[in-house]
Amino acid sequence: MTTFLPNIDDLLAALPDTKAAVDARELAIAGATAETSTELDQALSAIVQEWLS
Amino acid sequence: MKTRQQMRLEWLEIRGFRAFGSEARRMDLTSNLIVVHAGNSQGKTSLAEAVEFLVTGRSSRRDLFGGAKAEYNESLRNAHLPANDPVWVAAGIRNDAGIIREVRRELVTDFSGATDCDSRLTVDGEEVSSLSFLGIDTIEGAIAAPVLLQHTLRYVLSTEPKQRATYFKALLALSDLDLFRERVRAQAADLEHVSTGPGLLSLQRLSQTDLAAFAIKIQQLDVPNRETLRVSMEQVLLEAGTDVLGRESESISHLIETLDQLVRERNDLVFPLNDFIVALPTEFPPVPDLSTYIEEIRRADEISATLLPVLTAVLRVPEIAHIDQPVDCPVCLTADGLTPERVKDIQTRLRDTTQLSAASSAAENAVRNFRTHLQTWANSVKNSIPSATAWDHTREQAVASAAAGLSTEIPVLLTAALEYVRRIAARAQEVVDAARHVDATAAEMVDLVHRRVNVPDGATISLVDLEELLSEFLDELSADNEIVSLRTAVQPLLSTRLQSEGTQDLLDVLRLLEELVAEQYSEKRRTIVLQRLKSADGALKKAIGTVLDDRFAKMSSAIMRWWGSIRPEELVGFAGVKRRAAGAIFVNLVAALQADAEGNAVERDALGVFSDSQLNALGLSTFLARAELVQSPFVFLDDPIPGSDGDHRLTFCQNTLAELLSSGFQVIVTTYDPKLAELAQTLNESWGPITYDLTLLNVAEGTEPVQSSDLFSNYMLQGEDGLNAPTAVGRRGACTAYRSAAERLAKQIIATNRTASGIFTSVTDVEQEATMLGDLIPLLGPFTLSADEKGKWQVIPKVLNPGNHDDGAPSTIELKQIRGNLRQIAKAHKQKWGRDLIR
Repeated sequence: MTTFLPNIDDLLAALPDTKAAVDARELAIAGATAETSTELDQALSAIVQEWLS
Repeated sequence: MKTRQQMRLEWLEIRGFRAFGSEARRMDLTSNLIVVHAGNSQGKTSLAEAVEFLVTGRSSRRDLFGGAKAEYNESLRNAHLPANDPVWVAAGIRNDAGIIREVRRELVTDFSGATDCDSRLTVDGEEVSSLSFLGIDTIEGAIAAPVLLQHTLRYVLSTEPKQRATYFKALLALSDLDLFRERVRAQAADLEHVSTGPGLLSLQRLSQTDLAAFAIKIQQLDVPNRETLRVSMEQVLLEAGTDVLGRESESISHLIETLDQLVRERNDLVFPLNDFIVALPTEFPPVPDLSTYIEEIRRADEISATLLPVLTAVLRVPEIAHIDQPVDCPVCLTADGLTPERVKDIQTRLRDTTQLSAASSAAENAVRNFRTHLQTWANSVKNSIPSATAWDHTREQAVASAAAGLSTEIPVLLTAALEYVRRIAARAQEVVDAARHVDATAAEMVDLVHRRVNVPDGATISLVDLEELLSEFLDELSADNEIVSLRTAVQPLLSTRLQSEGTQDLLDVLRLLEELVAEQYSEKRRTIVLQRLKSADGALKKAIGTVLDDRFAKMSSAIMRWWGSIRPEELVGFAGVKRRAAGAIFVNLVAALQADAEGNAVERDALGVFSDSQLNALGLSTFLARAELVQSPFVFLDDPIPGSDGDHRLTFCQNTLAELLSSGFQVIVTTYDPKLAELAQTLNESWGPITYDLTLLNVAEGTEPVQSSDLFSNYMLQGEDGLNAPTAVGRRGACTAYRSAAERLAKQIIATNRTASGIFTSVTDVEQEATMLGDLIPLLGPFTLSADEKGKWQVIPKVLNPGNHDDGAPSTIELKQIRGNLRQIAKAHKQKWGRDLIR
């Protein structure tokens, strides 16, 4: 958990184990370590690029 | 959830911020409870906002309220300070490990119009970007500071439910999840806004023609990989080609070639634009270098050189080359003209001219080659002229008629273009003529070299004239000319004429096939990923709602508890913070109304049924619940209980403050209500509170906090309560308090001065000597700091000790005068003695 997204763990805990939530979970895990908005965008973008490839 | 930080504010220093002026004011905060009393407009709110600014670098007043941002221009800097005077707020913050760190925020630029203020934050002199080490998430904006201001309290109670949701998310420290979701949505938006590439654009154009069915077929291709997509696309495009041509093409490149030819032919039927194509001439051939030949020929005897071919031929005859007696000369037929000596002499001469022979042979070949290339080049000049120059009258009439059918401007442009074509044709002819002249010179050179004759000075291949004409010709060709104008006007008309038919568009698609394959493949991938992002966003929204509900439940419970501490045993209560069923964006504050202590509660919207006093308690409870939720190390409460709500001063000080302190919060409370200040101090005496009075005597120097954590200050505080009472009975309490304050101050001054002179004396020692003001004043005599002070002391008992027969009390004006005198005397002695003043 970072100070930038202090509630991300609670969000992950609230995500159900459904197929629709799998991608949301992947995005949340990727963003969990971001310390700034730029880092968050980079982490999310990396996931999106992976999906695009 | 966060872990409660055991941090404490140790001291606070403010300079130039709002009511604080040119004098840096420092406050000792080494207690869990700080009580600050001040009258109106003495700097209470400035103090609270200074702490807010220190923590967040922002102003909740400006962040939360609407209206023009310009209304907050230059609102942080003290208006009486020079523009460049430093403005800062600093604090000593003791961390969990007991280390005190100096946090300082300096104002760099104040608010100006829509522009935010800018500040520089340092910790122990090192610049930092946030106070995350304090456990304060400034992502929540100004609300992140655990500072309750009257305007933030009013904001939450007056704003619309939707805006309230935003505020509560900030209160609940959940804005980060909204931010996270927003950034996920931004990823989707980025994918949606990828601009269409040239390949897909060409396909879009094809879909608006008679060949639309093929375009749609391509758009609907659903294939797993790029290579398969390419094969499928090629297949559809070949089908489209068959549709246009009426026959199959063997390959894409063949189809492109055939369609290109077809389009040209069709265009020509409408307008012969291809007859206006200008081709630039080829590169001019290099001029042969004859310098070696010229050098050799000048070295050789010219006559020998001239005869060289003849003599060479003669000596190739073996019978002559090896004679041992004279023979007839086969060239001039002289009898016995060639003697052995003569042949030997000729052989010697021939050996001497071998290099000349090689040089002349090379020169001759070079000039011959030059002539050949020159001829080719001259042809390219002729061919650079558009074929329209060869139109006969009939053809020109036919084209003019076609031009008139296209648009009214085309005939004019056609006439100009034809004139241009003829002009450059004339120039081309001049160039060709000049080239012919150069060729003639070159031919002469070939002859001279062939005959081994010296080249006369000035008889070289000169290009001066040709180069000048060529330069003019090329300039004319490359300039923006009438052909360009004609083409620019005619081309779109041709495209429009043939657009619906689609051949040109099919050709465009074929030429952009590589791009089309890549773009359509990416487009399909983007669509799939976009759908995944949208589904993920839906799941995130739902999960954030769940987290929010959980926080609301916890917060509701905490709000109710704080509410109960302020307003115990009331029939009107707080029932919770609830989301509207429609989703996470609306928040209601719910009141529980009971008819009697045993009855069931009826729920209503709190804002609709609560009184001002109840709404204030709700705002305060909400703030405290949030502080508890985010585990703030301290809370700053600016006027938490309004003056009209005197009934709840006691419950606030006895219940709420006590619970905050026992929960581990450091509490700073400011109030204009002297009674509340006194209660806060006395009811929580076990926490060793530090008390302050704020006074603003000089607007430039700014608000001055004066510590009042002693009996003198307490009496002075008590005097405030009743100072303005309209009745004598009401003012009598103030009179008694100021008398006690004067007696206490007199004892402190006497004890301090005697101790300083070497006779240790406590306040109790002085009390044993004299207790009443009248008896104390003579003892004070030697210790007054000025004649003026001595006079003031004499006046005090006269005002504060009315005669026994007098039932009245001093007027408010008299009491204020006495209060002022006592403050000035106390300030002067505190300045002289500092910490040595016995309390």
